[in-house]
Amino acid sequence: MADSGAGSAPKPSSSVKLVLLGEAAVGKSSLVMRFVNNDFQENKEPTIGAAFLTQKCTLPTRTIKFEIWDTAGQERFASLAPMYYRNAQAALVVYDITKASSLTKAQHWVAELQRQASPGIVIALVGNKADLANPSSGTDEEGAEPPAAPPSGPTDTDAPADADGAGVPADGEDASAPPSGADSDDGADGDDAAADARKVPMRTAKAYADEEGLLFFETSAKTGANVAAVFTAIANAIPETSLKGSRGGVGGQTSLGAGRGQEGDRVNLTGRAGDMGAKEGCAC
Amino acid sequence: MDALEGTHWDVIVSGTGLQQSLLVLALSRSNKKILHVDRNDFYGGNEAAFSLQEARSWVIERPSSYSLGARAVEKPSGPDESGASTKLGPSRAYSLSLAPHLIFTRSALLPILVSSKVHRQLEFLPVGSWWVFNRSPEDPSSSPTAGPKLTKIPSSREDVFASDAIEIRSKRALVKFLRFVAEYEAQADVWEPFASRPFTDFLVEHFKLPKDLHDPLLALTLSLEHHSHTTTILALQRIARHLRSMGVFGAGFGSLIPKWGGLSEIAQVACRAGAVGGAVYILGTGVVRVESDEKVGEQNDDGSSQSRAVRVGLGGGISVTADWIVGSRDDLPSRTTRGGLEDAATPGSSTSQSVSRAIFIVSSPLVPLFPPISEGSPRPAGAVVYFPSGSISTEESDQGSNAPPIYVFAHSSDTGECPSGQTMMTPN
Repeated sequence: MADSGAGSAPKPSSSVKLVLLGEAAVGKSSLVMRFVNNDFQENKEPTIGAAFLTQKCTLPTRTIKFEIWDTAGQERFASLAPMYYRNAQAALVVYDITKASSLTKAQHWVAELQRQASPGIVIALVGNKADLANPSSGTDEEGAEPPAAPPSGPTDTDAPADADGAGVPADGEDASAPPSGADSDDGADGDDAAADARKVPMRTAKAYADEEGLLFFETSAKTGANVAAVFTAIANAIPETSLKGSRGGVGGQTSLGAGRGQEGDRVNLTGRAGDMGAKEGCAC
Repeated sequence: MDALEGTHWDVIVSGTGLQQSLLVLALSRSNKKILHVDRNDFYGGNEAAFSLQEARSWVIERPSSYSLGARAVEKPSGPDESGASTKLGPSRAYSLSLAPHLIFTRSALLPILVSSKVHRQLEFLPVGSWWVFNRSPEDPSSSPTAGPKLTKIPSSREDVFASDAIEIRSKRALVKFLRFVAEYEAQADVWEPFASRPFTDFLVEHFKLPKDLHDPLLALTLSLEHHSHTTTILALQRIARHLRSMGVFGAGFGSLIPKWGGLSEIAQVACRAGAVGGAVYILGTGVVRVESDEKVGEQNDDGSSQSRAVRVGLGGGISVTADWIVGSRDDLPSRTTRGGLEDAATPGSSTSQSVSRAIFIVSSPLVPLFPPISEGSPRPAGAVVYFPSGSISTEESDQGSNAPPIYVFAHSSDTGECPSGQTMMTPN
């Protein structure tokens, strides 16, 4: 399979475990499919056993290989296992801009990440389904829609995305409804533009993200708008020091402290396990 | 939760211990519709791993129906003589395993993890040295500096030969025994007369092994019984397992521990893989009621009249149906109506054993416990320390001579179970 980075000298490459969180049906999987399928390294594993999808993101100085973990539905009844958060270096917390309660849920997940995940985790808050909003509805001045990333451009864009907010103007006033509670998230509650399904003003979410130190984007998995930019911004935001060698997704906080190398300190089960399986027969 | 009301499942599995979790993993790859529930709000059942805070609440709040006896948490407040930091780290820096296990490299579990590919989400670390605790000599005058000490158990025949601690004659006897164990099955005539007799009798009468070599061999049996109850057949099986496991994944070690809290981690990874395969997960919701249901039974479409469908009441008043329900006795209601359940477990066999267990967080890395095992092998993160029966004073040993031995599983901070500079010690 063609590697778009071919030709140039190999850049240092690191694996980064990224976990997805968010209410059901906000488009978590769609975002990932948009990101991953646009590119050269679609994970070819069958659905069964596909614990995570991988996608590279090439930055000017390094290549980040995302291992993107989906919740596999375990969030539905609040039954995510601690191992899901373990060593995650990045998290994508997704809400639906047309559903106010989904931002509340997203805030819950952010709190959960701050409680459960590694202290240095990079969290991006993503308002998805931006295509359902009027272009001007997010911010009533300046008509600032999210900077339109090429819908299906290469994800390994070299353009360093603005890591601190994706150029979302954070203008001041706009008295929008705070994202409190699960109030009427369907049905038009006083929105003027009939075609505009937006329920979460961009500035509300942006203000929250700024307060918590999160990256913030509005995206459309449907059109692809801003999807690549999210991942590029995350890749840029991950501190160099927390990156491990190419085998990864497991370089976490404790291994940093313990100075334990990545490979070689763990036992490789597949080295001789094959022989063993053949010899003893496998129970399954 | 309401969305579940009235749903039908191929299999409902109750409890997220290792076995149930592996079962769900397997079933989820056979296109079965599975609901996996646990009355606990954590994964792993009796093998769970906890942060400090979770461990504390587990100790304090477990319902009495739990098949566990007395338990307590203590934080020693004694004087800190060394001046070393005895401060605990943040609660989440710990992963206290309720049931630490050694996974022998020949364990049938490992090929299952590999063939199901979930091993990629797990890390295994080697258990290196095995130690025997030696009391101070009977006659202290013979060696004034000798106090209690730990002696390393030779991990190979080469180690036996290299050891200064063993006399030449004993070495020969020991090596002869080790050779025998390697192929003991084929030499039933040798051990069968001793099969149910104490293992130490066999060592003395057949191999003329001096007493000081008994403890290292007993240690390898991991027998929780006093040595007079440790039978030859059990000991041979266990020692053979130990020896045959050596070197499978690298020189110098025969068993592994999963990083981040042992079997709990495997259970969690299996459950996640089960979820990827379509199983639905609910924690904090147990099975409270199981009854057979004819109406559900009639829907059985394979023509057989032997319907197994049951109506299952979940916590929170949710009622669902299933063809099968699986769980350990801990995780299913004790009474079921009209024989809707088969109790596969052998009922009430009176062989129940009680085990005392503790978890100590030690404010030292105890580096000497984890010496490098072999060139090219990963750094060991675990060690086993064997305290022979009666070698330390316990309530039991003070009362009688048949006190069981104590095994201490020591885990370095490489296991991710405690912050660096500390060690987890789990005596069994």
